[in-house]
Amino acid sequence: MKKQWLSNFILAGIIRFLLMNSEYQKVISDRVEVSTALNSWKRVTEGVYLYNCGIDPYTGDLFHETPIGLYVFNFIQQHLSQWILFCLFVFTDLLTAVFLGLTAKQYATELISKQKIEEKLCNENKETRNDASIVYTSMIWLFIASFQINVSLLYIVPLALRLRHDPMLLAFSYLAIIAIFKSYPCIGDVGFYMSLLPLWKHLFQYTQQGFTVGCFMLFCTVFAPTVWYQWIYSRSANANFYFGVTLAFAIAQIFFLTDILFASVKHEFAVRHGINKDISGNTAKLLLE
Amino acid sequence: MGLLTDPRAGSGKIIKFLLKWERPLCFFLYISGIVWVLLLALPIFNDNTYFSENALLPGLVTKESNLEQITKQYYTYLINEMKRYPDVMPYAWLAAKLNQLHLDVFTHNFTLIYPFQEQRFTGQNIYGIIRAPRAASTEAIVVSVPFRPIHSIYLDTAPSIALLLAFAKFCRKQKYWAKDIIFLITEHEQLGIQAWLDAYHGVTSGNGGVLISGDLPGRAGSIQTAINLELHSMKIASIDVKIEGLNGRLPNLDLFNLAQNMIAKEGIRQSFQRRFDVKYKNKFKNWWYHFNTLLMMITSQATGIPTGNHGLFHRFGIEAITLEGFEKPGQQSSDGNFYQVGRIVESIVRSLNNLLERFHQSYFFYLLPSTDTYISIGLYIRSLVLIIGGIFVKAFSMWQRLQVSASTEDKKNIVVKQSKDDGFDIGIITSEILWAHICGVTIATSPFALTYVGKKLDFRTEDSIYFGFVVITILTLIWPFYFKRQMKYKNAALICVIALVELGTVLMCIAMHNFSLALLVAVIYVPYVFILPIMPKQNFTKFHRMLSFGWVSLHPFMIASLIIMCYTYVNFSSDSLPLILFRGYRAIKQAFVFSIVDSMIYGNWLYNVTISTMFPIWFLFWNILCSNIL
Repeated sequence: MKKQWLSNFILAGIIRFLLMNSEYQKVISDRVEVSTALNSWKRVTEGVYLYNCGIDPYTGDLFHETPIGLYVFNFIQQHLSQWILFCLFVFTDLLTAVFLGLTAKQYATELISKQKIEEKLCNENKETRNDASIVYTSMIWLFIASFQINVSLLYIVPLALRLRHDPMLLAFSYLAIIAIFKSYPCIGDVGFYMSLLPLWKHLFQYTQQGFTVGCFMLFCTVFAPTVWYQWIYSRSANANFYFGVTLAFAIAQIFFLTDILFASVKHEFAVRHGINKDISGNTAKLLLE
Repeated sequence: MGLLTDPRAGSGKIIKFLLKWERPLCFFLYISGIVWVLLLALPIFNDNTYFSENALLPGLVTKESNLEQITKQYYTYLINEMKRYPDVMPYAWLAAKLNQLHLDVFTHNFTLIYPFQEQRFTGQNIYGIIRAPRAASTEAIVVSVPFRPIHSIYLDTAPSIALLLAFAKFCRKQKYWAKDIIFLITEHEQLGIQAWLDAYHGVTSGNGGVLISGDLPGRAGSIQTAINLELHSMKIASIDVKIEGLNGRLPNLDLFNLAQNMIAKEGIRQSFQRRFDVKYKNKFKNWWYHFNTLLMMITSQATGIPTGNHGLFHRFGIEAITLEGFEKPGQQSSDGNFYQVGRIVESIVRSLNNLLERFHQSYFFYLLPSTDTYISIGLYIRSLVLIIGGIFVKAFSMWQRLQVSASTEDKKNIVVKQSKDDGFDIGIITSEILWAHICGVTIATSPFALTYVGKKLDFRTEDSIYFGFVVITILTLIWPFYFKRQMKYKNAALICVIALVELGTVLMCIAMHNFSLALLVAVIYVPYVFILPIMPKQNFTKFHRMLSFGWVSLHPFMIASLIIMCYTYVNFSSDSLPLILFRGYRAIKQAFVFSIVDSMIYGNWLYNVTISTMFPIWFLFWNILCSNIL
């Protein structure tokens, strides 16, 4: 297991390093999907340069990092050579991967033990089933309410209440919400929560929108650069085309997140009441009404 | 909210309906898409063209030019000069004439290093700039003419050079220009204009080191619009307005309208696709005539090859058209009518001079069934959306069937499973898709390797590329038979679903750039995709075998060859069959080389995109058709 991890990490590190030094580096760093006003390294170097020249980097509309960030970047730029800087990037990426991997492992073991305990409890008191379903329904209403109110701040509290026993899912949904509602979103934000997707493999059987969401996301990722090209370079399409595609992508993400959250509710219900997909030989489908 | 929370979304009525009527529904969508295209040519489906940009003020100025005599003089001198140097452009004479008018005159040298052969060709463009007396040289209009030597295979353009000089002389005296006017005479057809534009903007549009455009000694402002003139005679009976540019880009509809209106105003017959506006009383005839015009536009746009020098401006966000003037067949060019032609050019350029912003008001995406009606993107895109909708319906119902079969399988295994094993082998599926795409990219970049090997074997470029492609085609066709592979039905079906979704996405993306190409590809590929037999081998009948064999003819190289053969047959139908075949064979060879060379010089993406997207999709289906599905 550890060996496989190590080989994967080395491979990933090498690919990242090669990409950084290849001719594609410029193409990638110029893509709007990758590099935004908030995370562009070019802007950071520019800001540090201005700072060193004695010009306030915040007067222009160029530099958006925090002042502490500015000091740190200044230090990095002054004391680290280009190669070490590259290695630092690769190292932080790998570190993120390690943390994500460890978290996932920890979560998986916890989930299994929790599930076993719950199943045991459920088998003991099957009589309370009716009450449970009432509570469950009212929870669903709370849930729907939390999605109806379209201010992202209002998502936080209801979700936190609802998912207080599952902080991992809560974190996941917060990450997804951030990626959806953030100004200047980039592909990294989406990639971050997507990388946690394998954690919810046990929920996939309850999801309903997999195909739609998959098609939507694929379509948007391919379609967005083409309309962007037409807007910026050939001036034949305007900003609205690209804007429309980003909206469609956000909708796909909302579908996706909702689907996962509903699936988790169904899963919880199924575990609590010991429902398997097969009831006396026939496939049962769990309906939320 | 119902959309998201509807619990029956997985087994709703709609899905049951889809599963039951999948194939008829797909074909219904396909056919309705085709019918929609046919309907587009109906006059009720078109709108009359109109001017969207107010600032153009077309035809409101008092035209002052009378270029007939001056043009004639220049023409006589030019013909003399061209006869003295039958193979080259009379640079010195042209530069001297422009200098006499006190324009800023410059020459531009460019070099083409012909790919694969390392041959060098050089050329020269000459241009003169009238600086705007009323503005600070920030904007410019281009009037260009391609120079053609006397022995050129193309139609003569000397009258348009004479007109350009005469018009320059006229413009020099006027005080109202708010934009610089660049008078440009280019050499070597599209190479010259491409090199000049690259140099003007300081970029390289094609591959590096192929067309070396160098730098320009003098510039004007940022170019707003361009008019390219190709007048073939001193007595012009009709003027054709050409719009299709590189990769199927079109100029703003306002510019096209402006040209058509000004031509009509001066009493010269205007045409589009060399077809005049004819109104038949018979409604069917009328529709058929318009539909043919529309079809000609679609086929010419689909190739992505510019129909004139205007087509290379579009990439830089410059709206451009070509005015091609023809004489009446069998008419002596004794007395000219350049009084009118000069006025057409004058009124167009003066309208452009009025522009306050770049063209942006009117449509960039449109189809034209005649000179005075248009079909906007909102109308024509529906046909393709219907066809592509069929692809997604097919993909979705295949996916749903997979889900259903997965759950019935679970039923058979009475062992109660906590978490369902979905049964897809992700490894096989991803590697299959990845390899197909790697093959596509490799083939797209293979011409270099092919010509390298060909050179060692003493082949000509054409031959080495053609035979290389033949070998590649044969290899891709037989390799699934060689490695008799087995695949679970589920995996095969999922690969199909992914390939279908990819096909739909790719077609939509192509449609945004070149609708005609996407439409033609969709019309050819989509119905076949609907009937492909994706099922376990033991259920195969003879008909299924034939169907899967027919997929061979849709290999990108095969279909390209077939289309070119048909085209040759249509054009030379009077020849004997072996001669047609030989002609077709030579045309295919040249078409392959041209498409590759075009992609390197001009950045035409027809070859690259078809090979790197359509080939993998074709290959994925082919692999599944040939593997032994269990």
